[in-house]
Amino acid sequence: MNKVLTTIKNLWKKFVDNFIKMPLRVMAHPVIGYTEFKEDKKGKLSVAIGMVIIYALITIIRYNADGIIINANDPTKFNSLKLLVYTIMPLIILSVANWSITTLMNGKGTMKQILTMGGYSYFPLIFVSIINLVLSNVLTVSEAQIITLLTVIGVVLMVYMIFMGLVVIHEYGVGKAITTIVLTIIATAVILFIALLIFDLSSQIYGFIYSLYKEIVSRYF
Amino acid sequence: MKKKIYFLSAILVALLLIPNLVVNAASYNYDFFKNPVYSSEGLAYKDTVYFSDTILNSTYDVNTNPLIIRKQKNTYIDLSNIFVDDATSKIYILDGAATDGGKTPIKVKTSAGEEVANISKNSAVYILNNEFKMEFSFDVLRISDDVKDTLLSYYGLPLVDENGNPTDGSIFTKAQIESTKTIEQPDRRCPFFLADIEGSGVYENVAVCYGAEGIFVSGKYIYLADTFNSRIFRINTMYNDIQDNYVVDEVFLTPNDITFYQIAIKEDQSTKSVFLPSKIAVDGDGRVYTIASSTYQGIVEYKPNGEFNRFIGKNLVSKRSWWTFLLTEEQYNKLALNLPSQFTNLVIDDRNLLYATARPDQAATTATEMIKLINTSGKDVLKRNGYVTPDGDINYSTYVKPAVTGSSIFVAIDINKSRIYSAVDQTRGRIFTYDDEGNLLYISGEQGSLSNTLKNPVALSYFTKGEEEYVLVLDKGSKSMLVYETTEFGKIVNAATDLYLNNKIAEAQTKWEQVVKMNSNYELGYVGIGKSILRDANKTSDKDEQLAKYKQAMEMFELGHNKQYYSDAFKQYRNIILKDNFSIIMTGFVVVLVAGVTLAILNKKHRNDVARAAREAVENRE
Repeated sequence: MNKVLTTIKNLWKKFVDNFIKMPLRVMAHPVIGYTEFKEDKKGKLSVAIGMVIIYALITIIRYNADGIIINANDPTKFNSLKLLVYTIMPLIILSVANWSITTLMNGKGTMKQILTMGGYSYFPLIFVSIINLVLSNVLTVSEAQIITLLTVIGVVLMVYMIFMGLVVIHEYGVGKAITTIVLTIIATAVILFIALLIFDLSSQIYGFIYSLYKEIVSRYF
Repeated sequence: MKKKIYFLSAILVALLLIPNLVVNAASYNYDFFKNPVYSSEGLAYKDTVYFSDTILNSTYDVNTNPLIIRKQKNTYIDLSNIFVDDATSKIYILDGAATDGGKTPIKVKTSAGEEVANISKNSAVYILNNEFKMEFSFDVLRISDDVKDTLLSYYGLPLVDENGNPTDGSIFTKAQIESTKTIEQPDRRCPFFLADIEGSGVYENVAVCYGAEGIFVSGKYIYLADTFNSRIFRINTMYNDIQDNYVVDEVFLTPNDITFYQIAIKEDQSTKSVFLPSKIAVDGDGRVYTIASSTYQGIVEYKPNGEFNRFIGKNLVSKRSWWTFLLTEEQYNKLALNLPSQFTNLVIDDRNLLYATARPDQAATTATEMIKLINTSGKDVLKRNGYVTPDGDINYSTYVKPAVTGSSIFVAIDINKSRIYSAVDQTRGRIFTYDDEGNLLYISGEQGSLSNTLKNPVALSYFTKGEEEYVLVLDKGSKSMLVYETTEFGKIVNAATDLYLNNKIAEAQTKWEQVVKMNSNYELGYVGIGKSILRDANKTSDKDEQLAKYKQAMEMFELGHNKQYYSDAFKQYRNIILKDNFSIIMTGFVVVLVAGVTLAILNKKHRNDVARAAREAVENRE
């Protein structure tokens, strides 16, 4: 019994340390935080993935559970897989784009570090989302500005965390960091373009093979 | 054997009945998420009135009426407008006859003496009673001497002949009378002529209309827009106080404005647009409003004395795409002109506000503001508070070819006494009915070539007979008038809207409850019920009852997706809860605060103690 309690206590301590204390420290003291994150291996990929999954879950819950004052989602069009992809895909694509740019520009960060940093930067959004979920059910329309304000604060903190993360992890100056960010956006556009091209082409190839199959089936069977 | 036959015939009857049950297309409405949802029908097809039948089978004897010269049996009907005079409950149908092939002989006096001229393309007005039977019709208009003089001076014709006698219609030639060219063209038809319409040898000055598109009845006056002849006639039906003495006693000619071609100056017609008054509306003071085709300045307003006053309610031009700054001036000039959309119809309500329908803006990505409520300063003041804006169909394809593509195009509109307005859509032959707030109440009608479908609707009007309210839609394509009756569902919705408009919210609640029972998809109904419950709750003093009612109202507003009213109810609900539990909440808050502070202090003290102990330990070791 005591053993179980100790295990739970340890797990809880681990959770608080990894999921709350560390991100908070990174947010409050980005330079020291990210240095520890990188040098002392305090940033964990598992935690980052956990963060993203938590955020995706909250997004899925919020789709239906948000209060009527901000909720304009059609419950008949609820698709949890789509929401999951929409939260995870930007992180992966942006990380790949950033990695491919920074490796060419003497960035010191590895792919793993970039992904981890991206995952940690979801922390303020998670926090704000939970608060908004509660607030949207207890506020009126005229007070809904608070929710907008909190969302903006969350996004600004996220951007701040990403920016400082890029600076520290790649050991860049501010100017170079901004340049890489602009290039990252261009690289993302290129990736999306290629992805669309592949989707379109593959659907065309599928269409071709399907019509070929139909032709054969109609002729010989 | 006999049994078998009975059985088979029963099956046959059942099979014959099935299509009748199935044929009614399911009506729909749009919900908060702009999805089409099934809804009950508000207007149901009742009857079709074919004009050839009406004219032939009516008890009204055409031959006794001197004001109609058309050969009735070969009538080529080219319906263009409808007007219902609520005071007398008579229906005025306008037959433009712009494509009339038939010719009607009439005895006229020309400059060459007495002759027989063949008139063609003369518009006619049919007046029906509330049984849809023809009571009277006319296509020849007697004109008063004042109007004759106005026309003579406007067209630069001599007012007196060489003997010093006032001129009359005999100055025109037979060719001018028979001409089918518009009146503003150089070798024009004559503005009026001298004819013996009674066959009694008495010649009178008369005028005929060509391609008339607008009709309006106000008291004893009938206003008629003589479209291709660029003028509007005011017909006094009681001229000299004689009953049914139809004489034109005022004429509204081309506005004296730079926009229009002025015959007096003999301008180059290719650079100016000829004034073509289409639909007309007249306010209580006798001001005439008209839509002139191929002009973009807005609705033309005349003073009651026939003078042009101003343009009101101009449609705005949408912005060009941002990338046009890349074009050179030459390329830019080659782009299609960015013109404001044109009005298609207008109607005036009892507050002298104009309800106008406009074509969708070609350059805009989404069709919006196709129905406008124009106030006296020319501003659009239509309320658009519904789940969807009053622009007809919201979900439509723009490219799937077998289906009808594109947005709705409203061609006619009318308003009833509860400020509910219906507009008919030419694209899909549907009638959209909205209330004063802009909520879509119901959609009815469909397109097709059957007797109960609309082919090419051109005009719409409400028609009240006793307690029943009908919607009459004039179909140019099938040369008929379709009569739609308000269904049980439509009646209840209308009644609820009317009660709410008159601030009888509690009575409206029972109606809305009936509506929701008939159609649980009807979100507007839930809002109506919620409003009434919310009002009740504000009145009650018992706290528990109040709480329950606010909760109920919140549920209703949530079902109706109305966040504003939901917030109003929720605010009250929240206040009651907070007030009741104020002591608990405040105590809890203070306890948490005190505990937090104490813990923080203790924690700091503990840490300080540990640090001091460590320091002392280090010092001791040294």
